[in-house]
Amino acid sequence: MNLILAIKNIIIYKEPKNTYEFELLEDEQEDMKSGADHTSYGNDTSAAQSLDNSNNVYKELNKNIEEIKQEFHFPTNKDIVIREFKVMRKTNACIVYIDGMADKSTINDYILRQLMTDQEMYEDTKISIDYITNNLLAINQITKHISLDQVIMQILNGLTALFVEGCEECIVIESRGYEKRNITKPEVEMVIKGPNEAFTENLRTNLTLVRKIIRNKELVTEFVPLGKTDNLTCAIMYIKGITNPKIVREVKRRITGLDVDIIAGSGGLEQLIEDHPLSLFSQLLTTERPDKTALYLMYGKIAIICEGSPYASLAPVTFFHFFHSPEDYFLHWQFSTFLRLIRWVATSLALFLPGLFIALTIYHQEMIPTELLFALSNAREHVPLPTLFELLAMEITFELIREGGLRIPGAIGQAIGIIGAVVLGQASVAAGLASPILIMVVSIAGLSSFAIPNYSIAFAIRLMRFVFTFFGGIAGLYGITAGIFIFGGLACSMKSFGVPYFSPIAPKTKAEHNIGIIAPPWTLKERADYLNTGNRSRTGGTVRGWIRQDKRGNDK
Amino acid sequence: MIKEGKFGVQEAICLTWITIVSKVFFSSPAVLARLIGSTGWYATLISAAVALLGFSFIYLLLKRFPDKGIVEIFDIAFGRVIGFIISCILGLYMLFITVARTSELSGFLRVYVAPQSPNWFIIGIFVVCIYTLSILGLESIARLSKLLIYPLLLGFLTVLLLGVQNYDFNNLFPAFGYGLDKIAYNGILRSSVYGEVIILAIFAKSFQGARFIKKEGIIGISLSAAIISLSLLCCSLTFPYYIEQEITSPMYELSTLIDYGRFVQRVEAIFLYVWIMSNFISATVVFYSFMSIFCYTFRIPDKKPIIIGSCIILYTVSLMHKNIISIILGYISIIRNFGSLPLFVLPLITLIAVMIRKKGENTNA
Repeated sequence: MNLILAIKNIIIYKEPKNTYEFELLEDEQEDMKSGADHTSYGNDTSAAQSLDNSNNVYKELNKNIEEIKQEFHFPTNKDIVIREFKVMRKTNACIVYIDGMADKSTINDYILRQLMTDQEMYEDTKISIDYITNNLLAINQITKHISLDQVIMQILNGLTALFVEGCEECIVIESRGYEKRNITKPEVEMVIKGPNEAFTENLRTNLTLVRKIIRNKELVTEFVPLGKTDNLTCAIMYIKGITNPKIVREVKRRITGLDVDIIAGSGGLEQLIEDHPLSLFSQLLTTERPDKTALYLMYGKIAIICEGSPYASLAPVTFFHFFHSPEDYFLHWQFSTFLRLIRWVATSLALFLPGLFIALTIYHQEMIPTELLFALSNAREHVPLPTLFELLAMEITFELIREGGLRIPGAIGQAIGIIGAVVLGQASVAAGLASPILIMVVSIAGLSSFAIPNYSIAFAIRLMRFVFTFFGGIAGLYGITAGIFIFGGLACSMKSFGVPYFSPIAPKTKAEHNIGIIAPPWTLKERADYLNTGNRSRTGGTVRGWIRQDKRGNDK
Repeated sequence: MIKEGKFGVQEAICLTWITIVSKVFFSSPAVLARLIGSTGWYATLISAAVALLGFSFIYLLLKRFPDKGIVEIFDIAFGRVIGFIISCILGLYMLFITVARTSELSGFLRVYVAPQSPNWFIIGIFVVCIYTLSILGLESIARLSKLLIYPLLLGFLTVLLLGVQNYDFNNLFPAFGYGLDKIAYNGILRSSVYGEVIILAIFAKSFQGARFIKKEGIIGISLSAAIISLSLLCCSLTFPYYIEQEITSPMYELSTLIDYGRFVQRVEAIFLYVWIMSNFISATVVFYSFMSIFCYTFRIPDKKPIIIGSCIILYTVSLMHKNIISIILGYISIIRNFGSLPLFVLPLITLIAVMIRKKGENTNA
């Protein structure tokens, strides 16, 4: 039945759906000042109180406690702590928090101690929410909420809720204090010259790491809830006045439009908000480095950082950004250019080498120099498998070693990788299952894939390598050319948040001297044209103003 | 409604450039050598000049009808019925060009690269490529052509540079070939080589106005003329005209002669991508033009449903040839000799018609 339906779907014409496609057109650039509306973190009640009033905080404390108990399945749920007490020994109140998520010393020393102290000289004072926030609580960040749903969400985030008898508002106190990992060195994007800080799983730490680099009042952080049941928070960072507000709005539209119970951090979010989720090429750039995030923010991009994920997702990006390493900006431009060229060579080798080897040995032997051809035929003399099968078997073995090495912990994993490669390679040659030249081809292709600085794109290239090997096997260089044509066409049709994937080459926009070869840093005066940033210029005029001053000085 | 997307001047130029130039990589130099000896390299400049004249008619037509494609202008100029017939002629001619391109590439590959591969297989891969890009649309094709122009140009110039060792200036003589009259006649007749510039008129809405189309057309034809002339010159320098006319693909043969020591020889396979890729792009653009005309003529709002059908037609018709000789002397000969009629003469007739009937914005033009 399903097969019939599938065939029917192929044959029968369906009217194209009028789906909204986001485009970043130059003529539609908007006033940056009007920009994106934002609600910054730690604001007062205003942001939260816009929700519906159906589940508001009750005036009666008991009702509030009952509601909280019901929502959190108390007492079955042992994580929730509801502590009842009297404010200034006269008004009933209670605090609610999740054990382990909140910092106990904050609760004991700065909430309970302050509230429970008997202040005799103020005996006649009427206890109200305003009085508590203004006079009693010695906490820097406090918000007031009237929606119980909002209060519950904040409790889940590790904050402490304070309900007071007779008050229709709830005070939510910043008391997050859960265990978190320390800032460590980057593990995937290591550099020799440059900062060595990486993001952690803690959102606040990650935001601070970025803010530490960009000390700019225009840097805005917006919070958007993710997922319908797990209330994960996701931060959107951008620089007002530089980032195109249309992109900000589009990112928020996509994130808030998600309707799913749980999202697996930044990796899961990326797949849900990118323009072409079926494509092998990622359309958001993932990084674990705050310095890279800061740099891209200054270029006019957006950073999305999810709670619990040690990565930032950057958008919009183009294909070329995936081959940039943070080190490029810390080295001399000539060295960086050389490294980038090496990466392009590595990418080409990782993608095409096995396919080209197959194509040459099966279809275009005339191209192989005679001596090499003899060496090849000698090496293959005792191999019973067809070349294509032999290559695919070795590629799969290589992938097995790589995956196995990852799963085995620490130093043993590395040893297994090396021993596996050497032993398996040598053994397969000795057993007459593979030729030494083919093992070299597979190894070079594998090694080249490690030179690609981005994990997502390296993975895409690993997968595409198999496709090109297949194309090379069935039709030689004609097949590989057809593969390039098809994959190239698919990639050219892609956009990352309205920016064509191969900008600024296809389509051509104003030159950005930083996509392949890096121009000297003092010539990089403008931000990318395709982003339609609010402020294209990165400098007031001359980057190295001291040259002019020096000349002036000499004239005098 | 059908939306082709919008793209800039550079993409349009690359698209036109590759579409026009790709034919020189196959049998065209040999046919020219047969017709006018070793003078093809400058005879093509005459063709380019005539094509520029033909393009000026197209431009004048488009200028009168801003934001309209040539197929819509046919309807306005001649009415629905005659417009329909003319559009059909142009559309079918575009399909015919695609078939010729597909068959020519398949014949070329069977002669030089994969003699044992069956036609159905080679053409099958070709049609799959065309199908994929047609689904993605003109915008993607234009972007891909812009992206690939750099490796294509690099490969092409490398072949010409590495072939220097085989160049012999004596091969350029007799300088006037079989006579000036034949050069002039064939130069004018073969202006159809540059006829694919009409794609600018078919997709006029995507090229941001007549002013840009004028620029794109002139630059496209001029650059194509330069590249075609250069490749014909190099072929003539490498092969005497009486040998060149016997070769199926002189440009490919030129790459096989590259020989710099024992290691750098028989490197023609490396440059295969230049000939194949340019033909892929060229055939896809022309095929897409056919579909675009077909959709407009029959008032079909969406191109996607007809892509599979059109590809099946392309595939079956492309298989209907005996061998490469029948393609060169049949399809290609017809296209070169009579190509100017639908590509340049039809727009001229339309221009005269709109001027007589006083249609369009700029009636004083």
